[in-house]
Amino acid sequence: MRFADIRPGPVLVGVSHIVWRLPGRPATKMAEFAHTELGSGHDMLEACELTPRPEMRPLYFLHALDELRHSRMFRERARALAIERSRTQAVLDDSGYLHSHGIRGSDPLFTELGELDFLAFVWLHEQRGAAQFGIYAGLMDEDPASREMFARIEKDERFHIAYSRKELERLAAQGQASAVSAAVWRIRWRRFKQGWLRFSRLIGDTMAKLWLTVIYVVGITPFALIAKLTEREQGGLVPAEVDDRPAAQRALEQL
Amino acid sequence: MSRYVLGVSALYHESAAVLLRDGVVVAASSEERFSRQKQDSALPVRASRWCLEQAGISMADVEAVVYYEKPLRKFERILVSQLTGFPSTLPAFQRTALTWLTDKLWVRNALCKELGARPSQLMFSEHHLSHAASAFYCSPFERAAVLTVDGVGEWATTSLWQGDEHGLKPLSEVRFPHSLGLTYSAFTAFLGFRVNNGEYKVMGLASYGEPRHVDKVEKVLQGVDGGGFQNDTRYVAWHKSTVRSYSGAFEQLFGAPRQPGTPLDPRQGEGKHYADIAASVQVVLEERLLALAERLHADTGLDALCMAGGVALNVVANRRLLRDGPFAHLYVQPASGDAGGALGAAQWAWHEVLGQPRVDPGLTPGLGRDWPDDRVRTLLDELNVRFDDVADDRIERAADDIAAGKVIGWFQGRCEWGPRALGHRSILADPSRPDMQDRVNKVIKLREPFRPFAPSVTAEAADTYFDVPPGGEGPAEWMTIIGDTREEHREAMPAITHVDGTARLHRVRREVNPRYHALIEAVGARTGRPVVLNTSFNLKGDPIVSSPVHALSTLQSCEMDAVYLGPCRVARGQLPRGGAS
Amino acid sequence: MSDPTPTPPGRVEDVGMRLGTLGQLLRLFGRGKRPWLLPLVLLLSVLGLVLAGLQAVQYVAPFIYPLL
Ligand SMILES: [Fe+2]
Ligand SMILES: [Fe+2]
Ligand SMILES: [Fe+2]
Repeated sequence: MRFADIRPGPVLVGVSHIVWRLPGRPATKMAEFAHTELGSGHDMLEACELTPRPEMRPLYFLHALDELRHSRMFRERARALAIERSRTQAVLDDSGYLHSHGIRGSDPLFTELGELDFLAFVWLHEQRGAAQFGIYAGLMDEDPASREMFARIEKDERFHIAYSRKELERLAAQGQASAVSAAVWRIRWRRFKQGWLRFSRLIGDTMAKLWLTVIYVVGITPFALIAKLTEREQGGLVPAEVDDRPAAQRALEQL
Repeated sequence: MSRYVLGVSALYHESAAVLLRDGVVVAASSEERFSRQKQDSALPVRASRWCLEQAGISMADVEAVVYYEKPLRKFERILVSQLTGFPSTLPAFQRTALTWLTDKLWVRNALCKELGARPSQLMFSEHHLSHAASAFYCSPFERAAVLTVDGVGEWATTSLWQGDEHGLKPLSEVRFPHSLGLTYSAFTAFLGFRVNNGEYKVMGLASYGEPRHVDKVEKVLQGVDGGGFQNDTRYVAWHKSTVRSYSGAFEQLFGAPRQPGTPLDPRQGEGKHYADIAASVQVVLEERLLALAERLHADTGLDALCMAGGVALNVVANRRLLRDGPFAHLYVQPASGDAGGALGAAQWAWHEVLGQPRVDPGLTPGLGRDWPDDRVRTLLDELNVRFDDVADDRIERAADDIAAGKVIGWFQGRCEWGPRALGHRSILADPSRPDMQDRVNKVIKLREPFRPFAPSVTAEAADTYFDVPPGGEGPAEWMTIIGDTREEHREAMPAITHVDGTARLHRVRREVNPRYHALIEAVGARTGRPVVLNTSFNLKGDPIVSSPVHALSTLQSCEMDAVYLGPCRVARGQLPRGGAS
Repeated sequence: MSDPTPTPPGRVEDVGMRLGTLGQLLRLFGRGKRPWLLPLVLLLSVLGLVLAGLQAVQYVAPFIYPLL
């Protein structure tokens, strides 16, 4: 069982270099980081609340406080950059919000994964975060304030990697080595799966939009004409429609 | 054996779940209090599971799971309005058709899959019916006129009802695209605030302005004979677009929109201009609501009015309705937004589908998550957070803190139902300190400096300090109406008095919240006034805190002085230091 | 206290419910004021079912799109 930390690959470094130089990018990227850090902060707070192992609670708590602080730092930096480079703040004003209002609703990450997998997740995820921040810190030649911020954050990330690795190593040493390494692999597989699903969803949405566009352009004209002729957008108070269905039947139907 | 009904609202605005036991609310919460995503609209998976846990039952014990609207009729409305808007509705069509065809159309499947309901348990109310039920069945009135006003539900945007022993009878309605709620939201967006969240700011801004633009606003929204209204759809875009709510013609009428996030001083220059627009919108909204109330009064001949729907959260308009309108009594559902639809859907099913007689639903401010004292102590111990155990003297200690000019977090009992903090999850301070508004605004809540805070006052002392129109006492308990700070006390309580002398007061009765009531009295014994500044316990952009760990992280994140977590007082300095630093 | 965790409906039941929803949708337009919309609704329904089907097999969906 190896617990070697990941190093950033050349592709990630190269892409980051290009992306960072796009105009307005630093501010929006910082705002994005603010979102992700806020999300991990909440995940960690939930883990802190839910873990059955009291000795893990303070670690998760400190970790959460770090992430929430990072989120604020990123948000403030994003705002400062946006003002400095006089770009609109429309996005930035909202960076306190999480936007992923899905349809499904979801369980806490901790509940979904369980303690062991959650630790493996933290360890892998934090490494990725640290690597990414490391790259960005190296890109900040003209922006000492951001560079300093990234450096401070990276230091915290080291702590997150260290405690999760220590905990995994401890569990491995207690005779759970195979369970730990299985957990690490499960998280890697989960990440791959999620990437694939995102890809699948992207293609699906694009295809669906294409079909919808075809329907709209080719098929919808006659209906639109009828609608324009027959639908009156009548204002004012109109009598409420009388629904004859008995309440019990009415309740069962979606119309 | 007890009978259970679970109400669910989701997939549009704030989602929520409410559980009734024999018609009485046992548990109610928005999903955001669990997911920590402000105004989360996803299916309330966690809120509904928690509701069941709270009652100690499983989904199989629930007689009906009631969704708060009719999804297919909503789909019809969206489809038809996109057809009438052809050919400029392509982007909107792509977006909405996609989410509907992949997700929203299949809400029945999702309710079964995500919440664990059986298809045979599912019921579907209607959007405005749910709002109306949440207002009428929670009100103290046996018979009442009911007015529901919001952005839009299925087709209706405003509905007039009569509620009596036979249930709710629909009288008339205004239909999409004509909408008071969407009009107000369009101005919210124009004034640079977030739609569905910044409407309060428009209302606060209005107090600084003069209604110089009423004629222009009335071009966008006209009153028509019979008490109704209509929009001139040339000025608006909400029927054609999913991202824009007003049109180019609107901008020609009112000038350039305000850039979000830019500084706003409503007393001068551009800020004043925007304040004047806000004031004009507010006036027109009030006029339209008054006309609707007149019509409703004429149609029903009743003297009590119940309200719900997002527009009923406009506390300034609510006072105007009570003061200048035809009704002597007013009840406003505190969760008037779509979260409240979960409550109304369940109540409608209980009373009108299952045919059960009316009961007092037992609506109290605290219907959400609770943390027993012992669990809080254990948690703090495990987190290595030092604390003072103040189980026996928390009220005295907190009152000392407040009187000494400290800002404290008050985390006691169950989390609130509805958007306001009502003394269970509140940030409290002494309103008589001149610097207090600035301090709480800038360092703690990061809010716009032009918005004042709300006062909590004991019911006994409310009349001494505030002037609420007759019939407004009930709504003031839920902060659904404003009053005036009495002339002689305005100067002494600057942090809670708005520029126009009004205050969004919270009237606290001993029977409803004994501990909070005692605290305010104890503060009164020290400062001479039984009034505290009360704002919701959260940071900007976060939902109200619901668990102790959120409270602690909030304490760490801002310059609050201490938090009263159940029986424990945690001061800022007693938190452990973060990770590497 | 019994187990509050959801028991997801089976595949067959899931499809059945979707068809039920479509039935209601068609009834809404068929009996309502807008029978002329039926063909369009039918078309969108079919697309909706296809999308729901693809969602159910989301892991292999990218391989199916080229076939459609
Ligand atoms: Fe971080
Ligand atoms: Fe981290
Ligand atoms: Fe609504």
